[in-house]
Amino acid sequence: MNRKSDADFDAIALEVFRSRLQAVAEEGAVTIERTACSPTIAESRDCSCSVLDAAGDLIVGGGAVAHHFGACSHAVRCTLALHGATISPGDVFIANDPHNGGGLHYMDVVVQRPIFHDGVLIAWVANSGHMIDVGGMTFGSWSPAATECFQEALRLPPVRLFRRGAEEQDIWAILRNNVRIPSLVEMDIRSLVAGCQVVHDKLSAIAETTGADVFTANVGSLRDIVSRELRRRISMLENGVYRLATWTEWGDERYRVPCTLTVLDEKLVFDFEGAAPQCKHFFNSKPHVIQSIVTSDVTDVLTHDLPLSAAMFDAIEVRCPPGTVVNAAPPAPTASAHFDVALNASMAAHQCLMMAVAISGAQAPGQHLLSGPVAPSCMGLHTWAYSTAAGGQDGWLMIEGAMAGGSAGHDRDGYDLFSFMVARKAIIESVDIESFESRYPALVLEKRPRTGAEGAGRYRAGAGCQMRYRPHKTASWTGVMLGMRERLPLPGFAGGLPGANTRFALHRADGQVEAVSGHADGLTIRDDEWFEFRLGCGGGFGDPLERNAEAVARDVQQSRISFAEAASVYGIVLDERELVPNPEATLACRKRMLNERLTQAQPATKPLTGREPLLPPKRGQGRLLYPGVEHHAGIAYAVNSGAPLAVAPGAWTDGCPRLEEQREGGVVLCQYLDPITGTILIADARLAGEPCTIETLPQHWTDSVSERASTEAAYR
Amino acid sequence: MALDAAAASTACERLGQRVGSDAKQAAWGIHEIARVEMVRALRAQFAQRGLDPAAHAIVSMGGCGGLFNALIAQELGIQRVLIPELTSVLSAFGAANADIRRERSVSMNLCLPCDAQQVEAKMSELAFDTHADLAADGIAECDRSLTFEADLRFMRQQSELNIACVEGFSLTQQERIIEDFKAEYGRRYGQGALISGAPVELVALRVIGHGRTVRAGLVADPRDKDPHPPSVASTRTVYVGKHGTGRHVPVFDGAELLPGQTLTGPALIDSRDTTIWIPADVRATVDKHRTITLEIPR
Repeated sequence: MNRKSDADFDAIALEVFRSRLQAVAEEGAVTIERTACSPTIAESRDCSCSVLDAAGDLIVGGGAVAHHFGACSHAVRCTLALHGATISPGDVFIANDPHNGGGLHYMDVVVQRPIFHDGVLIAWVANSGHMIDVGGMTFGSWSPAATECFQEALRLPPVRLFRRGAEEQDIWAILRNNVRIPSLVEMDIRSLVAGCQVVHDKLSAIAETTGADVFTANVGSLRDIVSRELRRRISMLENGVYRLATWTEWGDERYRVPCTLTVLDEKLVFDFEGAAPQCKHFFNSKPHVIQSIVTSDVTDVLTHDLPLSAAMFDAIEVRCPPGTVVNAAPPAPTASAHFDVALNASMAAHQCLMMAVAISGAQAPGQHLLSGPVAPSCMGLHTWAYSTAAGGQDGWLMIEGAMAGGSAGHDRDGYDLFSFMVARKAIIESVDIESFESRYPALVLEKRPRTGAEGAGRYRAGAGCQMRYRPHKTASWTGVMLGMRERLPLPGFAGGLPGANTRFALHRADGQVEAVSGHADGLTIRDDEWFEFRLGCGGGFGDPLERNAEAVARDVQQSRISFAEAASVYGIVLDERELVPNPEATLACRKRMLNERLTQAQPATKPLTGREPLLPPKRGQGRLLYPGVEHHAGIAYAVNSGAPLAVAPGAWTDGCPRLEEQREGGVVLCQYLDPITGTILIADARLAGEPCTIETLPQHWTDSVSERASTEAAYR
Repeated sequence: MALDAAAASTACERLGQRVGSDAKQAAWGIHEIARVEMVRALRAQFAQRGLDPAAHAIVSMGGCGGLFNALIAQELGIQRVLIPELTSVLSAFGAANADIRRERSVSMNLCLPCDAQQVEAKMSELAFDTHADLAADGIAECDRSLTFEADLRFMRQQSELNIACVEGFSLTQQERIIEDFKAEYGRRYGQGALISGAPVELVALRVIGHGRTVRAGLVADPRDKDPHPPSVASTRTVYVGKHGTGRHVPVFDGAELLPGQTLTGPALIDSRDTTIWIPADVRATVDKHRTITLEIPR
């Protein structure tokens, strides 16, 4: 090592500086939680505190919702663009319109305060938290029926709540006049103001000790270091193109959300070209929302050990074509701008990156985090409103609806009730049942991880939340559903099976059970009825027939899966009384199942004929195209059997026999098999008539076309 | 256990080679990051409890506290650090000597102002029961004392602030504690966080009973206050700061320090079971119980 010792020694001072800022951001978030009223913020911690530089670029973020950080940065940039030179010490701004200076969606208002030192703007604090209501057609401001943004909420561009320290009474009056439960919403907005105050005081004190110049220089150095390290890690990934497509659902309508990742040297480009045109439903999104969520999720893989900051937004480009669901223009409704479409976009981007990581060798960053898709796109949140004894309206957001199950990792089962992989993300906590029941007119009958064999694999997915509850000491509730993935499950990874779908149901007094649509509006439930939700989960990792027999037995013992599912999904034959695996019967069962797969499968679209299987010594010596698939000089083979699959630059999935299962809602689950062993290589979930949604085209594969031609010419 | 300075130095040198610095710089880096992490943990505790660091002092506990606490206090704006003679075994000493503390609380969930009688009845009941608790612990009446606290918040908030009060809950008293609550709230979260017209809720009342117990004697040092500066036992080379060049710092023998003596940093005090670091400009004073008080200039 011959680096200059001074530069590195400053790194220690810089880490001290960063820790101080991080502590300030955490203190800001804790202040919000302590002073807010609604349980969504005070207990579930649906809020955040972003500390940004004078230009609005993120320095550090605190609080549970990392998806906010990039969006808050966008909000401050809009405030700067609109108010420029008039911004003064003591000003506090608010904005909530994603079309005009807002954050993730209307309810996550962004309260921003500039921080001056000796008359110079040196930083910003931007706090965001979920308001229980910001007006519009429906309690909670999620209106599935809305077709234009004008119907959805009170929409604030960046305006002042305080001007030079004095309250702008007019703005507060407009706010109070347009929201339901104004006293509660005002208190929650003031909690964001309180968080700004605390951060303002602490940052000012830090700037006092460092001086404005050093403060700004340190912020720049932090950004450079993180940027250098992120670029170094990206450069360790295989150049190439990685694709994954999925669809957002609205009843029987499907909206395509495809992602193409291009890895080129030190840069990542996530392109959503081909996304469905913008529509009349509230899940239209905005580029800053997609960018904020995608960057947060993909850097969890690459730089989980570094603080999320503006540097990461520089090295990662996110392209959202105008006029589509990822870049909608007014008057498109956007109440769910950070849900359905955005979460699908992020899932697709995250999984594209995972595929790049998976084929980039043991030294690649994020190898130890390799997992199936992040699963927030199976959430099933919903809001309920009821009439209070005093004649007013009250209600809540059922945060348990966020507790979908996580996808499996390469070396572990997925988490129950938590939809991210191991990540920097703090957990949004569910509310205590006792606290929930004492606060709202509700009685909980059941809350537990869901059972079932969905998301099976060598490692299986975790379980989503299953809950039954009903109105108690009130005549009825009226609700809005925010369910996703009702029909199309999340795919698995490396042969793992797709996950579970999210379901809502209403149990009527007469015993009838009615399925409730994922975007139902104005749903009424009476106190002699009960509501049930079962959340989906991510996919499995690896073929389920490779799962450890003891692990399957444990799943049966814990009632995760049934005795019958152990055999039908995993090929594990258990002793009926002891529930322990029978090794001989299991071996025979698994062998029979692999054979059955091949006999029942449809033949490959383009079987690769005239090529011999790869000989055992050469297996595993080629370059990976996908876990379990490699190529030698432009010919793709299954690693385990040596079965030849395709010739570059063709799709290797075309060389695999396919097992297809038609599901309701036009969904097809398609397993691509190793033609020799019957092992599942990819288990895709897609719409009927669509090609495989998963594709990896590393440059060494596309480039091998010419390489192969010359090799074969030499043989001839 | 004897410390092995040579082995520590070698380890720092190895680490230093990896980051391109010498052993002393690496050691300073380790010290800095450890200090900042402790500050961060402490700051989070203050924030979670809603306390102002400047209004508190650090009591040093544990064998290593004396090395870091003055620096932690400097960073957090804390002005005093107390280092008892028994700092290294303070937990054990405390467990053997603590006063009896009995707490009783009752949740009220009342909007203020409220009916005084209802609250006063609860207060008397709590006070009576707490007295009985102390009596059952064998505390004589003359050794008992009670203090009162009210947990207040704005209506529907989930977290409270703790406001001291006295027995009795007349409307005047209620007005006073509401004022105290709002003043504390505004001080902590800014005037902009105060909502006009939001009702204040009395969440809980608490009575804390204190029972004085027999103490293991902390014998005051009988010697008169010594007006002379303490004598330097030796000097040691200490490196401070990233470019710190070795500086000869006076070392004092803790056992030789006399009540009333003061010294100003930079200095080290070697005691039998700990070492205390007194940074520059920090003044240390020994009291008659041989507790060393560090005063940190603002």
